[in-house]
Amino acid sequence: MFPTFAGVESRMGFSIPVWYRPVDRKYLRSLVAGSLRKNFREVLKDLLPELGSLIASGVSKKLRFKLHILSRDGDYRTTYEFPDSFAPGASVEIELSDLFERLKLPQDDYLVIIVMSRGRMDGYRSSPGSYSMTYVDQDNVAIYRTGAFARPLNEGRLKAHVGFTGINPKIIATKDIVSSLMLINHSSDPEYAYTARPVLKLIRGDGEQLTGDFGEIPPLGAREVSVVDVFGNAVFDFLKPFGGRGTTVTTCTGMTLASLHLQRTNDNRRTLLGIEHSRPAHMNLSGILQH
Amino acid sequence: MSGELQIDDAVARGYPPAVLYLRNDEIVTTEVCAFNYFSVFMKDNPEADAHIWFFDGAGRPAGYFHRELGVNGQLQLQTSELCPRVSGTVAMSLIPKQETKLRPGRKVTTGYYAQYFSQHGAITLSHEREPVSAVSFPTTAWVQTYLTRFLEESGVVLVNSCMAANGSSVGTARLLAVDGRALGELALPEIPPMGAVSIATTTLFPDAKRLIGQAESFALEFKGTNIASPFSYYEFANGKFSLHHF
Repeated sequence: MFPTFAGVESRMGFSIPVWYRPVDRKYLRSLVAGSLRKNFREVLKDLLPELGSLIASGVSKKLRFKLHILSRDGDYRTTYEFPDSFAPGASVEIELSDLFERLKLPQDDYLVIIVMSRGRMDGYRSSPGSYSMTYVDQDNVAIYRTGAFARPLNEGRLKAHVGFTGINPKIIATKDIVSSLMLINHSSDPEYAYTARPVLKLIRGDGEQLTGDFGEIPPLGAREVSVVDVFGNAVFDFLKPFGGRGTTVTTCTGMTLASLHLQRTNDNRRTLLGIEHSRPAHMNLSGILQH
Repeated sequence: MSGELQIDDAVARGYPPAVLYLRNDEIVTTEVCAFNYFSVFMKDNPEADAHIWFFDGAGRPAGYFHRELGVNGQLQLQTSELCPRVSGTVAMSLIPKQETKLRPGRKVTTGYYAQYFSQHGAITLSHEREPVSAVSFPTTAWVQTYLTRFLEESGVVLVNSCMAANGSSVGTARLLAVDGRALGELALPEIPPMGAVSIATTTLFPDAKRLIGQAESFALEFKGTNIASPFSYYEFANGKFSLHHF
């Protein structure tokens, strides 16, 4: 799921790696190994759709794409399907604000769910390559790139997620720049119905911290808040002794969220300077043997 | 420098630093940002050391920085104060202070970010890229699209994340149409171990404008050995710099 911003050129791109194949020996091996770790019902639920779609596609190397467009509150607006399929080596590119105009959607902030006909079910169960979102306003280009999920997220049929912990040590609150966080309450279940209520801590260099509510994120929706939105203008004085710098630690129990870090000019979120997706810090600890 | 942790020791201990592009010059400065996430996820072992190594474009050591990070410790390091006018590679390891046991065959990678400040208040961000490798490794093809209207401003940054003495990176670049057709191909300049290069698209492919024609977008592909995942960039005449990992 990717955000778009009203009045900003928002371009989605995806380049299919030349090495991409829908099935290879490594993939088959991982399917079998994965099945051995699950119970019979889960195997059927995971494998049947996968094998069915492989057969239906004729094991084609080409990929198809469609876009579901949602409001920032997670309400469904419309679906667009790319007329062509794309072979390994090719790139898919679309300017989303043009598309919204063609689809007669009013100018607004949206969320776009990009669905590709096939992912990689081995390894981290993701897309083969990264999606690229390019935002161009009058004189700034901000881009972030990340893989798509090819695995269940926030689905009731599975064991619940432990929770989300997002860390952003790039926080700035100065007269020129104010950092924002955008959290997306995503799910692979179209009937997903749980609202997220994250809590935000802002920590400065001496360990002093402020705690605030991030606000509610509706199911399949997204919310962007700046540190000024959460902590008020007092945040400028709070961070001033540390050059306007700090770290946010955002937590939400029982669900997983997608997280973006945005740097904006201090103009009430009108100008986007930079954007990057966060990385799950706990993954860095997976090599450590913990009791 | 006494007490300095050598980068090869960090790799040997199973804590390979992760690399990012470093740029400090008259247009861009780099800030390295990190948080001691051990204090969030390992309550019984919350203290860590941050070790940062700097290399110039030729891979020569250009500086070292160490800071102890306690509970909720954080770092927003203006690298231009430590190594002004050095562009190349930065590599960082966060290592817990208390000895930890590693899972057999596993490494502990480090997560951090850089923000690049350029003129007119521009900022661009990246999370860390690949861990430093003690041995050569293959780089599979990385492809990304670019906007043709910014062709003259566009380029790529390539970082060699292999520290082996014989670990120079070699590779090829291809200019591609969005339908996947190859418009041009050439051998990349060698990058020394831990070095980095920044190359404009029109330096790689001087004839790119004619080859791309009227298409709105084009793509660049890079593959070879010892090249961490590349960064695309746009650098505008007014000094705004915008960098993004592939």
